[in-house]
Amino acid sequence: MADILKASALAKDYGGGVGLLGADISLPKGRIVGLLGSNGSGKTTFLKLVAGILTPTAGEVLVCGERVGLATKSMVSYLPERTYLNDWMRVSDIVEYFDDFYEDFDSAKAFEMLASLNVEPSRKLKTLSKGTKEKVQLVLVMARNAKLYLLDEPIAGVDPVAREYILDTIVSNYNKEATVIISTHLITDVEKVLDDFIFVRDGKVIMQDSVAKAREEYGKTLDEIFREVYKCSEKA
Amino acid sequence: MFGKSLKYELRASSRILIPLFICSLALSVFISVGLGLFGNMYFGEGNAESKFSQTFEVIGGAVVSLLIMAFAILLIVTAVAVFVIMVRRFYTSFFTDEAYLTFTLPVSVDCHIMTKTVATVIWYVGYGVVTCISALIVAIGAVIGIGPSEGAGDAGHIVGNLGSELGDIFGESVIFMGINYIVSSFASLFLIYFAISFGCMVAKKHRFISCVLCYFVVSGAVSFIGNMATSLIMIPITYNFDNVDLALTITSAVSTVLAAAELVGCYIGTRIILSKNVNLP
Repeated sequence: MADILKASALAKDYGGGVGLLGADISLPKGRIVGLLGSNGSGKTTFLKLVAGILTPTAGEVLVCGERVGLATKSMVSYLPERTYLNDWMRVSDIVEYFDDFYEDFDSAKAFEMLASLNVEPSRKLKTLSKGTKEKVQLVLVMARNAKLYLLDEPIAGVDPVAREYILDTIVSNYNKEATVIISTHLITDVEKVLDDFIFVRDGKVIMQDSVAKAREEYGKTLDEIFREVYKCSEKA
Repeated sequence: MFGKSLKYELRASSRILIPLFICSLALSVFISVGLGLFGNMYFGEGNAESKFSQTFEVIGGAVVSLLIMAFAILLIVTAVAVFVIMVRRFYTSFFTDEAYLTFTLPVSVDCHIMTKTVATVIWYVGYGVVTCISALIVAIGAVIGIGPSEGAGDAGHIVGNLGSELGDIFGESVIFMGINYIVSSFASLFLIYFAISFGCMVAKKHRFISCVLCYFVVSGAVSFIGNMATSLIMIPITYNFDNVDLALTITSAVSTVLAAAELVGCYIGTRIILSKNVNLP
């Protein structure tokens, strides 16, 4: 099975600190992958490198066999942990914006998802609460039929009910031929939707496997495995 | 992609600039009507008869004076607004949270830079057109207010012949001076882009100060090189020229080459920084 994402010795040094140290990651298509680690472990750095927002200091990353650039930006749908929407736009304007720039964007699907959130397309973005804006951003990302979805902390800072909703939205709306990478430190909440996982600590990949296999091998939940592996890597 | 980028870039800045342009035109219409009614108060010549009582004319004239002051202030404010908005659009698109959207679009850095540049040109040309139309509207009102007179006729004759008289004095150098003006204007714009890019790259805090410092350092260096070129190349070549037109042509040509070098250098520097070194937080 051809890899949808292949990172080889991928590294990013910020000058004042190291973001990522030589990550080797290969992901096939059609999987939901958890990129799990504590704050500052390198999850966001990795996603930004794949999204093309950062330039690697060393190594390379390929998406569908292509180096990160204009071609991969058409295939990758990225949800940052920040709100980037222009406050002066209306919801319908930002949907039109995405429709204009991304050929794989499904505006009908976007409006359907917005309707389920009770967000009126005519509303100005500046009138929306922070949580609603984040949901609008999620809708924009998931309404694309991308090959790779990168979701950076999609459930951080929201209540448990909203977390359920967000995870349901992700699972029910992504392109099933695509791969979804969800970065989070809330492992218990995302565990049930994940096929594979990658543990990251201090810029290094410390473990990568399928969730089912790891549960069988360790006889524990992913959260428990994470705590155990983290403690071991602390001592090492 | 360029067309789409430009569409949204113009939309982002039109919310403030279009209303300012409309206000300028509206104000010019009011002034024109005022001058048409109370023109004698200002110019005191021509053969237009007074239409109102003296008191009413004084009040009307005062109102028109205030409108003219407001119009002049509005023109200055609009010019400043165009500059500030264009600079701010560059900064917010590439160095704030909006950059997460900008840099994930399937649009090249060159296209982004060109979009910003063309949008700036469009707004400045628009400002020029609005200013000229506003001036024309005011002039029409003034002519109606004064009535037919030798003064108005002489002014019209001078304005009409201005182009050919400039050509008689300066000859072909006018063309080179025009080219130099355009290239220098673009060079100044790209210098600002480079200053913002470099300033934001080196400083995560106090970015405004960093960008301003960078601007003054680079423009200082460019000015120094320009002055050296003037001293070492242009003055010796043109000093003994009897032909003013040729001297101006050579001076303009050398200035244009220097401005073009500045433009290219700043563009390349901006492009490199935006492609490799933004490092969004």
